[in-house]
Amino acid sequence: MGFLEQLSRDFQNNIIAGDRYMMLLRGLGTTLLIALCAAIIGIVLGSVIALMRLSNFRLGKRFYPFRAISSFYVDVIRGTPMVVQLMIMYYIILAASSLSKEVIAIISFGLNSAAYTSEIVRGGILAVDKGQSEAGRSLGLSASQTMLLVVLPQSVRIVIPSLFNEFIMLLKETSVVGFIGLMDLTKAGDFIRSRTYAAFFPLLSVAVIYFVIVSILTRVFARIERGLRKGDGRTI
Amino acid sequence: MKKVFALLLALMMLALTGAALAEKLVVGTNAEFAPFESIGDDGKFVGFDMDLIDAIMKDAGLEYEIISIEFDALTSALASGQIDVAISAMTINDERKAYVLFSEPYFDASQKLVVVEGSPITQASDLKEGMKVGVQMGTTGDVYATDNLPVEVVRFNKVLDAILDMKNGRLDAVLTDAAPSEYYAQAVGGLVVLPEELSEEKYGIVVKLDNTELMDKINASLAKLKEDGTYEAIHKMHFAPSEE
Repeated sequence: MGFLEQLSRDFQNNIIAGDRYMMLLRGLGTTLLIALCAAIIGIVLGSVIALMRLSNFRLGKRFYPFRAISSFYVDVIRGTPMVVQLMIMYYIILAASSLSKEVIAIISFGLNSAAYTSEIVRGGILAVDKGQSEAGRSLGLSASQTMLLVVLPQSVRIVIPSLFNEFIMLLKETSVVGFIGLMDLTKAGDFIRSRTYAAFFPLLSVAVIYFVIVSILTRVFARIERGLRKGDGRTI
Repeated sequence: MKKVFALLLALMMLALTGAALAEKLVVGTNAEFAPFESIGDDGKFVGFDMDLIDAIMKDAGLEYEIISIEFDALTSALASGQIDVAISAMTINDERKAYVLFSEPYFDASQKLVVVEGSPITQASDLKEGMKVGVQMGTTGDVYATDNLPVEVVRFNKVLDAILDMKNGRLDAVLTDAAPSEYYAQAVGGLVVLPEELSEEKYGIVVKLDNTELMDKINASLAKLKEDGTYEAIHKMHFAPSEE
């Protein structure tokens, strides 16, 4: 049998037979669902954590409770592997809950992403020139008004590229949800592998699908970024 | 610069010849399937399969080392040459025979359902649509449940994860080979193994499809061990008569 014939037979066997491509597509759906919902949780919670980390609220002489809580949270999340967090959430913290696997995965990835996002947002806020907040304050705005109306809008433009980067990392990181028995894109590839006993097509098609999705996202994100950068005089 | 390069080259060649000299067979298993293969308290591989392959390799005079990988990756690891032999409570079936070469059967097994104590499920026919059954992905339990049960099949990397998920109330039953179900039911507690045998199967040791030379050695040693009582002794060590 020729090489090409073998290849086409393997393709038939691994991708077409038994509607296996549908399995990959359904897996992709699960992957995207988890990544998108987790990213939303990540951005909202991450922004809150970033503001907590920068808060000047103080108890006593030098205890900043919001800063302490938020930096503890970021340390714990960044200091432990995602897959371990997911297993702890599924088998311990939410063990008795009736939430579906998808929801538990979304919560775990959302909490994880929030820690990384908070650092990105914090960096973005700090990158806005000090003169901006000083100008806000001297125009008679309160500290929180200055943050909300002057600093945050300007930091959005700064953090967008890093946030997109975080989303792409998150999307690929969801490939560990197979550990709790969820059938995402990676696990769908594993499933095909377990039935056809071949590594080539299942693994490569999974890789290609991730790559295509990330490429599409990169193009969309580049567009959004260009739109946001209109009017700041830069050409790239 | 040239000298450094020459030195590096020399080192590399030394490393390569070293690797070639110490040629050991690599035996693959999935050490998540007690009492056949698991990792003992001292970090070493233990279980019926491990003792059997050790006896076979000793008898055949072959050096070997064991590595543990995912069960569903064992066959493709054989095909791509990362491992030379796999012993992992693998059921002999026609689909697998197209990809790997099986030894003579070395163990009789069956599939059994595990449920939590007090479960209304007492046999496979009690499983209805909408119920969830946990399996280890790629095992015969997975294939059986997918093809023959009306339930949703939830696939895990390890049997133990499925068992824990059932203990947490998320699954109605777990389907796996009889001996591991007894083992985990006892180890975890609060579980019942249903007596119904859902399929009859035999385990085999596997090598790459075209490696008949190695398979002949394995089969010869296996036959010898069965003859001289070694097999019986290993079997007794892992499966007390009361359990089976």
